[in-house]
Amino acid sequence: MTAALTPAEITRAKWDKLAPRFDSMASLGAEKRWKPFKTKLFSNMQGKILFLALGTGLDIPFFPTGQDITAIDISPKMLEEAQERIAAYDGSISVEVMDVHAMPYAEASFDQVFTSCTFCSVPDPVAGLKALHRVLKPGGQLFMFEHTGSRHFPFRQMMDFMSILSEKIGPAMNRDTVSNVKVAGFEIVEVENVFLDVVKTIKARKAA
Amino acid sequence: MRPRRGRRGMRCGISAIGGAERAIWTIAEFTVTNRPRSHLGTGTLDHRLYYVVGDFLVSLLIGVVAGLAAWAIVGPGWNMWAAMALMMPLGMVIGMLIYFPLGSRLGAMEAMIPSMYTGMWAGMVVGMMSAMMPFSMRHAAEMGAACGIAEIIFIWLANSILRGVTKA
Repeated sequence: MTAALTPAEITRAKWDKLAPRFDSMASLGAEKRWKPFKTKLFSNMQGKILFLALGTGLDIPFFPTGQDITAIDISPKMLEEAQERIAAYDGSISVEVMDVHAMPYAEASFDQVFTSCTFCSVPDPVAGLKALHRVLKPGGQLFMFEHTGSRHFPFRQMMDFMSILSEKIGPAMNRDTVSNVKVAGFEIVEVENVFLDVVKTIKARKAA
Repeated sequence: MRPRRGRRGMRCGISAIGGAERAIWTIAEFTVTNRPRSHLGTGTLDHRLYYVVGDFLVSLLIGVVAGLAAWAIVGPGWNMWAAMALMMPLGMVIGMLIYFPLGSRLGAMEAMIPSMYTGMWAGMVVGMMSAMMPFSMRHAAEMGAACGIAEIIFIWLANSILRGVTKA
């Protein structure tokens, strides 16, 4: 009898399976639609940076040049797809296959953490955010580009319905990520709604 | 010779579509870089032409297809409530199916919310009308299109209200 898979193993398998066709699904529409907002968010990069869930590296072209970035992802297949974009980046990106829930980094290792469409897929979002809180230096900043659940009818109900299907192949569409950030111990600095109240940028910080 | 001409014609067609898309992207980028406040500012509509036109056409298409599907299935004699209840999820599924291939151009699963909403409304309205009275195919398509237009206007208005920055 085989042992039951852990949530991390299930997530890894899901993204490994999606990796070969992820770019064809997301590289044209999604990335170009959100490009100005991501570029604006990533322009805040400075210091020692952790980038969570690099995926196939679709966000790399929006990074400001000359940064020193540590990037992790739970899926080795996604990182394989990212190699070309990593090599093309004018700066330093070191990548590691890693689960956010089990990061081996010491406390207060990074000045900033960036995420991009990540916390819809992290199995335990509050635990994942607490892990990011741990590795951030006091006063360190968290920058997120995320899609979240809506607070408004009829979008909320529609996203609850979509999540039943979308969770089978990848992300959940109805998470309250702003509340999760607060629960994990961060102070919210700014939230910008990009599309309805669904796609948003979140800026938060760890208390100094 | 005919197949070769056909392939060349297809290549020209694909090239023309690619060229048109590049042109629209150029306009979209121009719009973004020249209107930073309108695009990245707070509480405004998304002005990028590519998405304004693209979202409108997709909503229109989904409204028409969902309307026609409801018209083809439901006829006079159906219970009106049953027709509405069945055509709503059918319309949502049609919205999803149409959006998936177009989504790689227009972007993101989040943008599928309006598509599903359009399908739901068009299916429900045309299904209800078809159950109540005899209905022409053209009328069903027009009704579906009207649902698509009304829905995308609703999304634009909702977006203009909800978009923006909230500082702590």
